[in-house]
Amino acid sequence: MTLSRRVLTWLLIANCLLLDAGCDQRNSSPPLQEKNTSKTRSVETSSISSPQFHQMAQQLGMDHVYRNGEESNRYAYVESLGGGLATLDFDRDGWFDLFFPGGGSIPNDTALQPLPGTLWRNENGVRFLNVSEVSLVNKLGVYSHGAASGDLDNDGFPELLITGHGGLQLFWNQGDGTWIECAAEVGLTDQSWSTSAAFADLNNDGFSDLYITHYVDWRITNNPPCTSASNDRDICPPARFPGLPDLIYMSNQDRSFRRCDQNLGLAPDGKGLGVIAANLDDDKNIDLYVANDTTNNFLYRNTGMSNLQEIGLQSGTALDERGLANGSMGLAILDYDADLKPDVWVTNYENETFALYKNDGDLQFRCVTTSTGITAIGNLYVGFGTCAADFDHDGDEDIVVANGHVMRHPVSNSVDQYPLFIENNGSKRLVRKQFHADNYFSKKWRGRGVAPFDFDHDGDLDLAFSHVNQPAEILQNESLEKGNWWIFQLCGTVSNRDAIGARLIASTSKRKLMRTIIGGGSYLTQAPYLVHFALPSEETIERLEIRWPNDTVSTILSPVRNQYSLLVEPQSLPR
Amino acid sequence: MVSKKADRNQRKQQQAAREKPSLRRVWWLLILMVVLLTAFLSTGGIVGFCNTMASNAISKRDLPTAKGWLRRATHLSSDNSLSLFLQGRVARIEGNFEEMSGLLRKAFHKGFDNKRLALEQDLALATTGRLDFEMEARFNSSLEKQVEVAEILESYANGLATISRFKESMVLLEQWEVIDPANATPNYRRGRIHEHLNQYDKAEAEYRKAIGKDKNFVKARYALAKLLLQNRQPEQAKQLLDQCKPGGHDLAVKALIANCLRTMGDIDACRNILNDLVEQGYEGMLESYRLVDEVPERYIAASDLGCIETEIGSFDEAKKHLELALKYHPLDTVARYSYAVALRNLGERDEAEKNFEITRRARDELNQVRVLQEAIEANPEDTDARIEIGKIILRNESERTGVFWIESVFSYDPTNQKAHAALAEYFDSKSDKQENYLKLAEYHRTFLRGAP
Repeated sequence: MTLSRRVLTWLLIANCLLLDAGCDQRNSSPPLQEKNTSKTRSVETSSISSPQFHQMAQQLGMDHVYRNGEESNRYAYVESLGGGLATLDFDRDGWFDLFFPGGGSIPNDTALQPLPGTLWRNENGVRFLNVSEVSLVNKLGVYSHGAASGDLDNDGFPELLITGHGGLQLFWNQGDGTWIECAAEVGLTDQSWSTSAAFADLNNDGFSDLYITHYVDWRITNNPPCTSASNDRDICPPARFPGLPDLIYMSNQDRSFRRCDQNLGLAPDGKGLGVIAANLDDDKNIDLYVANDTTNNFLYRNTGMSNLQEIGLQSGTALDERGLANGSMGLAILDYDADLKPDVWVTNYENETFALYKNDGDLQFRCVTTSTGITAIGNLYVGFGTCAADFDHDGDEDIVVANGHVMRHPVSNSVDQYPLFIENNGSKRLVRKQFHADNYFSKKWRGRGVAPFDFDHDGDLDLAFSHVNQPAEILQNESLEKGNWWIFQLCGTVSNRDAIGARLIASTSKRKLMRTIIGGGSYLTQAPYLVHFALPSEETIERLEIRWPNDTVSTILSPVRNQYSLLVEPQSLPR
Repeated sequence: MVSKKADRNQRKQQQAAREKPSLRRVWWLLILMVVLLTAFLSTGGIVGFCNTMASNAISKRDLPTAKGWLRRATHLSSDNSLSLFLQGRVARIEGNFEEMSGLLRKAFHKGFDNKRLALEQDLALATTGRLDFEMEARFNSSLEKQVEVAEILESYANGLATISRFKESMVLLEQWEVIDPANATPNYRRGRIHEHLNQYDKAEAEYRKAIGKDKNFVKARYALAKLLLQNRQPEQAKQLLDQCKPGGHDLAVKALIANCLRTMGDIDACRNILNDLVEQGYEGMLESYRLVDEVPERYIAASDLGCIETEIGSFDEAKKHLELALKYHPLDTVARYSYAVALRNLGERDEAEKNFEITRRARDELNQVRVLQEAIEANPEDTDARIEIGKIILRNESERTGVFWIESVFSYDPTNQKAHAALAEYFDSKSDKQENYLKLAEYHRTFLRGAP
């Protein structure tokens, strides 16, 4: 298929024309995009080269800076977390837009001052337009950290949740390009220090619920002086403050929520920074994994009817391979060894290696950090946001990590750190890829959030990074050889609209590949609810099996390649 | 022609005369040999020679060589007081204080210099941190008189470091280096202190200085390799270890090489080494670690091998090795957790659950340590926090570190009742294993109120 034919159209699957189920087709066909002819030639070749990324934020007109207020020199603990980002198609034009929380300032010893977030409309992949003011998402709320989005009322338009110190902000998408902040009105009255959030339908009622991680009990009025190993005043360690229990809001299915964490058996003693919602055991219930800072990570087995059982230790995912709790921050799900079981990837603090937990089935995991070569990457990084996807179009998932220190005077380390591109070599080994000296990955940043998204609709995954006190960045994936690719957007009709928890298995003549749609993930960051497959040009998907969140299964033979496809959940399918 | 022949004969005769030793010269040589032999025998003879060689080897801390010479000396004369004293010194350096005590007693009965014996006992006490004001005065007096300077500086510096008087310890080590600039040990010791204080750059520099002075100084090589490995420089660490000359330390060095390979992701090579080490047995490993100043509280080879087998899914093998590791060191949390994972994957759910529970309990308790440490950072004299940390670590992670924390109380309050009670209880619990523990328990009980 030539690239001229690989125009970005939305394919509606024949039996999914279910407008009455809420899958509105308006705006389902993104505009055509001009393709670079040199790319067209390269697609014809079969060899797959490693990806090259180019910094594009400035060229695209996107200039957001997350501010943490450290210039006040109060060394407030809140400074250390930084901010994430959200990739969302808020106007349903098919092009994924960007939202960045603003952070805050610390003008005195008694209060934190919030800064507004910014929303950037993706205009056909050629520029990002700041629409914060006209969309009304710049309403001041809390000293902000994270952003999460999901379709909470199944109308096709994603809502936007902002987490931070002292409360939540929920911006309800009006469908006309504007938003209304309504956290208190819909019952999201949490006042604690919230960090990451995951949308997921925990009780299978077809509506997304909300898991929110809480960090520690710190306040600006209780900001003790701490020193680093070099005896400089610095950010306190997490052990200095007690952890806060996480919380869950269940959807009332009427644009309101009820707090349910007390009834669901949440563990009381985490210091949550990251959360991911994914179906890890192939049943019909979506499970939750929580990254905690210096305390055991949690794995909640969802036993149905939203009963959660914390099995982190028994599952082998609470601790690292030495049996130690890590300072965990970022999360991703991938199938690194192509055994069709979702594995868990965790970024950790310095002097700890990142952790990869191999899924042995039935929620039993093994930490395989050493045997996969991850220890060889080193432990000097303070890892935050992360994502797993096939960036080099060889069929397996690679990993990207945003790094940056939380301390201002780290000993034997730097505040700005190299981001990592970790290439899956297809033989169960993960290897750090080196880039040219002028590449983004060869420079040090104070990284926090990262999300993959195809901002230019060319079929390969680009990246959005957030930093602390540095401009956010968009990296354009300039892989010359793309092979074949598929991007599927799922539309739940019985299941939740975003199909969070769905699992897709693609069969080719050579292998099977598995991808899942996850809630949450990365760090303080929302990635698109899309599924991306890529293969060398001689290989194609012959059969695609979709296991929807409500456990029904649908199958597509030879899905059309090199285009976006919208897959709508049939309303009656065998379980 | 004739004259030429005559010349040749004359030259031959002269050469023969030169080659023929004069009788007088032979006699002189014989007398000299008798004198030397007499002197040799009068100064202790072969035994004395062996002792001198042993003493030199001890100074260089080449204990295997020293032991060899002392074995020869004892073979020739089993009751030589100097040999007994030197054996006691070796035992002290190796930390075998019970053995040292017996040997010094024997030396005393053979009439060895009482002052030197007393000094040796002081050195032993100092090494373990049991310094008191009078002992320190004695040391300072000996240093002024230039008596046993190197031995005193080393033990005194070690003792000060043991009770966290690092600055004073560093001063002594600097003095030692000034006195004996070619000696690599002061640099090595300074490196250890810097490392303990998390001053890794300085530690690395000192280790490198030590290796610069003595490229065969295995302790420094080992310590530097460990540091580099910790800083994720496994290739450099391995390179250092590969250059260690063979010796009794081989097993410890190989175990660290295995760790480097593991970090580098070369699991197969790592497994091969660890399998070899496990076959060598536990006791050999212990001895080897002692030679690099390590007292591991894990059966590292079995524990690491078990963890790797768990990671790669060879659960039967993992179970075998981890059971061995836990047999020797039940508090090995790394092995315990991996054991639980292996059992779970083998379907032994109940046993797995028990081990997960032990891990959970240990982690829960150990999580409190950081909070207590912060209390100590705020107030170093918070003896209750020190004792609590010690007890938690004793129960869950490390007997040695636990005892260290409790003993640290004595720097601030030498008669602290709670600390002595905690140590008495701990040593009592160990008394079925060695009589020494019972003595230690009794010693600590003497500090308790109402004790007889």
